[in-house]
Amino acid sequence: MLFHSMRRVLIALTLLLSCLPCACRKPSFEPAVLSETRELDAEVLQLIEQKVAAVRAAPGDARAHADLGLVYEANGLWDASEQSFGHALAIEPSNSIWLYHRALALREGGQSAAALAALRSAAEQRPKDAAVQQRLGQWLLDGGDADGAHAAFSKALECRPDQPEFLTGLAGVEIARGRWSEAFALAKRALKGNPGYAPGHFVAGQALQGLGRSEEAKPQLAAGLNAKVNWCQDELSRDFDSYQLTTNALATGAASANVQGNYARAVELYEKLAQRKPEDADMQNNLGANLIELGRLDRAAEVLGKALALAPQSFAVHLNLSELYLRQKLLPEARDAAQKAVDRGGTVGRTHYQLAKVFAAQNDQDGRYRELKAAAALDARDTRLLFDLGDTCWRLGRLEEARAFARKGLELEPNSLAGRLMQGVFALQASDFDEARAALAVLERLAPQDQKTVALREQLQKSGH
Amino acid sequence: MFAPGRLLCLAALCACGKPAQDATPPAAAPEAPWFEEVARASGLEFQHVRGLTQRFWFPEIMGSGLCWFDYDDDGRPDLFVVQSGDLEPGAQPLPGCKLFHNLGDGRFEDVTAQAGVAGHGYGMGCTAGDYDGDGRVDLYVTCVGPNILYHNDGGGRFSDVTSAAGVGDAGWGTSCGFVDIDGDGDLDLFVVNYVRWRKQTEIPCKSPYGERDYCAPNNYNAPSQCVLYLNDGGGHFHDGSAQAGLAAAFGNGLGLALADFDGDGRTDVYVSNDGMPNQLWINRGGGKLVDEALLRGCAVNRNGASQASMGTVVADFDQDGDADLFITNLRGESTTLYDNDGKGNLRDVSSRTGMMTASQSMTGFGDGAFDFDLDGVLDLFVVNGRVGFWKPYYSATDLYAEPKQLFRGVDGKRFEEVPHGGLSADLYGTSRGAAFADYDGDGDIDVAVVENNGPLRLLRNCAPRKGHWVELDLRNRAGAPALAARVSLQSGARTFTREVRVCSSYASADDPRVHIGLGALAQPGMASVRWPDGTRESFGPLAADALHVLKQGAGSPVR
Repeated sequence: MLFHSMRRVLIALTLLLSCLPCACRKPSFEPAVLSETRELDAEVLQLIEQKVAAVRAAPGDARAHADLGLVYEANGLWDASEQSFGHALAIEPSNSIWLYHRALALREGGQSAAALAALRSAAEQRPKDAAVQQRLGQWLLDGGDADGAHAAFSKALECRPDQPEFLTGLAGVEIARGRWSEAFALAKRALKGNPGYAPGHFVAGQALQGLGRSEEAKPQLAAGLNAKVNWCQDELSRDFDSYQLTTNALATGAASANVQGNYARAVELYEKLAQRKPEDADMQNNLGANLIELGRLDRAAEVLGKALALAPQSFAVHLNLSELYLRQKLLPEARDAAQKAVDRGGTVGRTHYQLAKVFAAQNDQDGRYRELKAAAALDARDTRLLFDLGDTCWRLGRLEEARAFARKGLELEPNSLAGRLMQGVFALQASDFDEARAALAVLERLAPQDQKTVALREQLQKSGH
Repeated sequence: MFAPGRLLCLAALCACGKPAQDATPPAAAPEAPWFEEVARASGLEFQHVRGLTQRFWFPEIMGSGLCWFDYDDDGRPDLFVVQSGDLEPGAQPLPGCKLFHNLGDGRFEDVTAQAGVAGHGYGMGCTAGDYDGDGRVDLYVTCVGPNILYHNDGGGRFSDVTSAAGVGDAGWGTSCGFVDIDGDGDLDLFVVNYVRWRKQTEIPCKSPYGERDYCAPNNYNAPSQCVLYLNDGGGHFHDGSAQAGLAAAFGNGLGLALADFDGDGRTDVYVSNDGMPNQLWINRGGGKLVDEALLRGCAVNRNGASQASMGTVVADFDQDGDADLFITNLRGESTTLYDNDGKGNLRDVSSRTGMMTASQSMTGFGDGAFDFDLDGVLDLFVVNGRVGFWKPYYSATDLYAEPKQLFRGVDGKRFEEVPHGGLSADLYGTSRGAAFADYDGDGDIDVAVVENNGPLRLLRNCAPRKGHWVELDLRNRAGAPALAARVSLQSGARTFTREVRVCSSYASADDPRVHIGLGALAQPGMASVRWPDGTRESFGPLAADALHVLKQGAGSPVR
């Protein structure tokens, strides 16, 4: 017995001594490298090579490994990213922001359980990091842990009180608990901070539905459809953005910039993409579209000319050419190009919409109406078409039809300023003062200072209602 | 006090050359397989063909479905498998759809040529039902292009009656189902359409790695409308879509579930859309449908996000007597389970299922909810396969392939993943349609799967049995499967509720016979049936471990 105890002690001592060097010397690692790089864009490869070289030069430098991990992460190379952050953490375990990014890489790489464990650990170490707490709250809520999610969102709120994203997260927790009143109160607070935050509208709608207030729930749910959570930035976000270089990342960034109306950024990214893929008509075409939005029509004409040469049958190229001619006030050319777009892509609503725009410019309201109807038959959820149809009908003197289109559009997009204004003006013309007042009430809530709201208010007052 | 054990722990901590590993769950004890793959041994020779692989035309990644139906009424489910083919056929003849006759000894015989159902388009999905009330089950096939209705003439032969019946919608049809929407006693036909696609308007899309890949449906911005064909009798239908209210609603439709969600006795329609809000068409009677999905909680997930919904299954998972919904989605989205409150309000309860993590890394298509191990609780089987290239990939020969997944039902609310999809090893494929039937008549449910550009699979259920079962073959007065009939089987304190459904999964149809796993209950008791015309009858007491034919009019009337 004594012999066995002594033997265990000796083994333990031997092991302890054998690992003493690691207690006084930091480990070092070879950089995480990709087994396959053929499909990577040259710019990404170059950046990776640069960061790999930095790691090779200092294999014990945790920051260099983490930087490499961030490059991989920014370009969707999850396994290598996870490995790199792992190396960084092994060298410098106390840097919990790397643990957070390792969690993100694990999750994207499909290792959800390990990702959650890593995120929990990062959140424990970073109780005052709102970005980390928000992410943990959402993941826990998705996983059914309402209490855990509540704790995480509450911590995030402590860091940034009244942040709409965190209030919305907490409202989601209350929805999961079936506490509708509490959820609605939180959603209202969130929407006060950011009236346009779609997830806030969605939880408000869920709460109202839970409270049995279905009619009020409907527009909230509609406004919250396809909601996307705004993730808070963390301390690596700036570098992350600058490292996004894959064609896909650039294209996603460009498309996103376009959607947000940031055409300058979109052009910047599409220029890179077009340079990278000069034979890609799609890239040239998208670049052209954004140049038009910026008003750089000569350059747009040059780029779209290239796109047309590459893809003469593309309806999308003809679509943008039509828009270019429209801006250049070359109406016959605009109409010809729009017609070509319809001929080549008539199943796509946008082609008919473009032709309708040309008809509008030519003041051909019948033609405009016909093409808008064709577009709406293909894209019934596009409220822009419904509001334009309302406008066309009004110009054609068909007031009741115009009102019907405006109402239909507002069913889908209850918070549309243009739609509400249209509803109010048409209602005034039809002497339907109840509906005009209802429209004004929404406008007063959405944009009380807007000139159009003010004008409608004055007109209603003038009419004695 | 000196404690050597602590030193050992310290030493282990100090072995720190590698990053700390997350705790991983202990390896599950080896489990006997639930399924074995027997397609070829059973005589099911079918290779799905989709056309050229390098041009990335959208339909070529979407695959096809399959249907179990007893075309010759011999009491055994036969198998119809939809073939895609080539969107730009060359001079060489292409393989067509196939009908396999179930010989009853575990083997099948290809009877396509005699039956005349090889098809002539780029096939997608199928469904079966006796639309003309002659007691024989007919067949409808959706295509990228005009769909086909085959009338079952008897004697193992079918005729293409599409033109005479007026049901050849030319969109990109996916799931479809026969259903009596207007309550006039005959079967109407609901067809889900996907994207308005033409090869002339195909667009180039890229994978995350910058190379050419298949597009997502929203890249086309061309969602479609569903079509409702109302049965006029005399073998003819008319397009009742506009009258029903379908004309103004658009979606990238893939999945279809037909069930009485709000418990009013009328069959409602749920359409799963890919990347757009789903639709729940509540049947208001008289052929009128109203989409109430958003308000009833099942248009989007609990966060308000549209999902890329594919396979759709209705089942009473929590055994409270109503129709719950299970949907498979794209990689990164996880599967969704909606719980019905009995009034047709469907709440996303996915977060409590325990399936979110396991399903998040897969793109699910075909699915089925059955009690595979007969323990009295519904399980879920999901077949997966990617729609875009992603690394790492599972198979160098099929870059879009993923393994199948089996989830054992724990208590009707939670599920646990069974390793390897219940097979002895992972079986990879770009799986699309999955259809379920007890083809070998041994009392448990088997699965047939179409792999896109791959072979047909037949997964025979060989799971260790944990209890008893009963199968109910509900027949209408004409002798055909009584689609939409609802049966409640009382056994002790438990009530099992099922509806006769054929339309399920992804572009596929299950055997219409109702299967119930009873667990330890050896005496199932009485079955109460609500027939589609609203009449009620009871049957029984029924014996366990047997198939019972319940014919309308042969039971005891219930007021």
